Amino acid sequence: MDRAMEPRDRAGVSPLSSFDGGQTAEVLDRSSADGHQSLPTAPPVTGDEAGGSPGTAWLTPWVLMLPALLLFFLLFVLPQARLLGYSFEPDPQSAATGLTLENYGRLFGDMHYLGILGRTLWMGLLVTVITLVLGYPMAYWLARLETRWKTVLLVLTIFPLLTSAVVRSFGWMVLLYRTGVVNQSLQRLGIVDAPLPLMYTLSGVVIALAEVLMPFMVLTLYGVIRGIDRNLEEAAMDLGAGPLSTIYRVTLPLSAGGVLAGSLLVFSLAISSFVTPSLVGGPRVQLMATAIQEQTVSLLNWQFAATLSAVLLAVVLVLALAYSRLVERSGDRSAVVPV
Amino acid sequence: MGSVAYGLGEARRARRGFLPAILGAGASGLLAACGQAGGAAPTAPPTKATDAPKPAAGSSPAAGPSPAVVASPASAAPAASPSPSPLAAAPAAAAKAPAVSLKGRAMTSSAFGGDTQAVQKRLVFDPFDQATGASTTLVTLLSADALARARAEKGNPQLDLVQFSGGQEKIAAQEGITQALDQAQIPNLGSIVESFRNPAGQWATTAAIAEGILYRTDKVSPAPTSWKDFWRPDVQNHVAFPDITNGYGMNFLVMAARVNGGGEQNIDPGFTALAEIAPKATIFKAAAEVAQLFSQGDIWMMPYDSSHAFRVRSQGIPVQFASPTEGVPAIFITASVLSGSKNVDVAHAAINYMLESRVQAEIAKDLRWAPVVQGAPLEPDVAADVPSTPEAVRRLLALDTDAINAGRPQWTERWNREIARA
Repeated sequence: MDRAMEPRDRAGVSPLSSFDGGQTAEVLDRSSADGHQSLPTAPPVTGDEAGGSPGTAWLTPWVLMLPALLLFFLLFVLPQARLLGYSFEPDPQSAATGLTLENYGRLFGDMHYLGILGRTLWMGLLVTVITLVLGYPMAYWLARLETRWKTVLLVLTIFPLLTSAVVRSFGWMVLLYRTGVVNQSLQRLGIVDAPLPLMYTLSGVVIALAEVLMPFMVLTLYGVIRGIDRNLEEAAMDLGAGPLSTIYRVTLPLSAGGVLAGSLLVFSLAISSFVTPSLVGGPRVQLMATAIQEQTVSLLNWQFAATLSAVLLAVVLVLALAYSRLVERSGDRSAVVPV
Repeated sequence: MGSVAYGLGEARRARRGFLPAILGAGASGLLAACGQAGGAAPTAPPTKATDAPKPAAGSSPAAGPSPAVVASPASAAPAASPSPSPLAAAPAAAAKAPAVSLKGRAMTSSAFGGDTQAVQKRLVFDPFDQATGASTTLVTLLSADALARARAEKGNPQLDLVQFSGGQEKIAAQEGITQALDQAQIPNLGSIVESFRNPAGQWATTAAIAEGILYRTDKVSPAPTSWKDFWRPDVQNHVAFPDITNGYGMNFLVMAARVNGGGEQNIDPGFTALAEIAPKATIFKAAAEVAQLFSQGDIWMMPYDSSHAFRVRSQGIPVQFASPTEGVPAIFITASVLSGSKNVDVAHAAINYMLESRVQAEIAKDLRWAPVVQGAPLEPDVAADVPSTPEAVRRLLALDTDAINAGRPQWTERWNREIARA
């Protein structure tokens, strides 16, 4: 997340590029090549020029990456593979052995579980749209702000992240109850006659999650918008575009990468979040994460829990791939703009 | 929380498959070492210790406040033996004499979090540490989480002592996750009321909690006396009940079945009855929500335990506990020792300490958990809130946890579809 926050010096650059392993390897390559020189007085040279011993040079970055790769393999690849393996094992209550697809059949053949999946995706979409609509103006304002309070405001944006989601969710519970602050205010203002059912409903979960995940959206957008050259906006205005037209035709397209990155980040965090849906939604709002928790902890059916997890993971993966495609295309488009 | 437990399990299993030889050898080596250090002693003086509980059970009503008297015959014997055995620790702890035998030893136990954990720490684990020199680490795990974690770490547990409140101790014992208790190391097992005892000695019941009806005295009139009062028209829209993943919610389902002609073996009537009130009821998950729901003013009645009635009342909300005439399901807090634990002796000593009648009375006072040992010296206002008289104890229902555990997967699925619908 913190990398996504880094300001980008060029508009439209895919924020994912900072996650790019290749880039990291390149940097490692360069520094290791410097090391091979073992001449402290030598001027800095790039890896391509340095050469070193050509036979083993390719090995160096791999050796340097080995600890990280090993950790990654042990703590991520292996458990994920095991998780996937579980999802093909039969139900613990049945006597069957061997591999089976019955868990997937149970999930996809049952409206109850398809409903849970659909509700989860719908919830994620709502949260994403709300954070985007509310977060974009805020991020834009923060990025264009030129005062010494800017740092303070940025810290305030991050501030909610320093509080545990459990605490914030409990806070939302107090606010959202039938006799809570939100309902009382709405009733006093005459907006509603009877208290709205917010606690233990999907609406409550969406409201609370939108607040919980807002900083991720704002900070991602902030970095991208700040990287947009202000001269471009001014040029557009000089050429007769109004403020709204400028934002719509210049700023928005240039920050498309940030919008997509922030949306993907918020969406995947939303559909996989557990604490807030569990506390605010209660037993009635059944979502993927709460269903996985129930299968794992209450019913000890790790096989079906793994199936639910695998499906959720697949959904996120598909979205991430579609997203990077979109970003590439938007990158092409913004490349037309001479920067 | 759950996902963490799951993740640990994954890593562990993966690792077991990945480096079986090295880790297996390492673990068994450690076990062997510990077995030699702590395991040899307990075999020495068991005969004396088993005698000890007999006078304890008989004389405790009179000697209530001073369990030291009760414990002294047991502590005298092993203390005299040349090797300081872990057995000596338990009685010594009761006598508040600084016991050297557990000095520098560590033990990890599960606890239920929140107030409960704080009180258990203050009244059980801290004084236990002080008296024995052991140091106890508490890990917050609700029963289901505790079972999931113990299962994931089976054979090489990070926990030594595990506490359950939902009948999970049976599953754990069946699966070999926990080991049979060494009765000789827990002389106080003998003072547990007969009906609360586990005959096989797989676990120790350390407290009983009655699940009845919590109701607002200012809103619900006449006061509820039956489980059927949840279907009264005047309380609709003001009823809350826990989710099936909460032990109290499961028991409520069973009681709903029982009062409608069904029971653990025939759960259908329970579902039919609950489906009737569910659309207008609030369903919640966590114990932490009980006080909050009552304080919102919207909820007047819910099935929960006397412990929470006391806690909500102490926040100034007029909530009373009612014992329905059809019976009061009792939740038993149990303590088990994990198989493969490296601190079996410390865990045993801690269980013995939990069962001291003085400790039991203190827990009853601060948590309104009913004592399970005979003759715990209760103050009158405490005695009024917990089932302590023989008649009250007789009204406690021990639900068929085997049947409940067997039905759990199907019932949970059905609950999610029919009761906890959006």
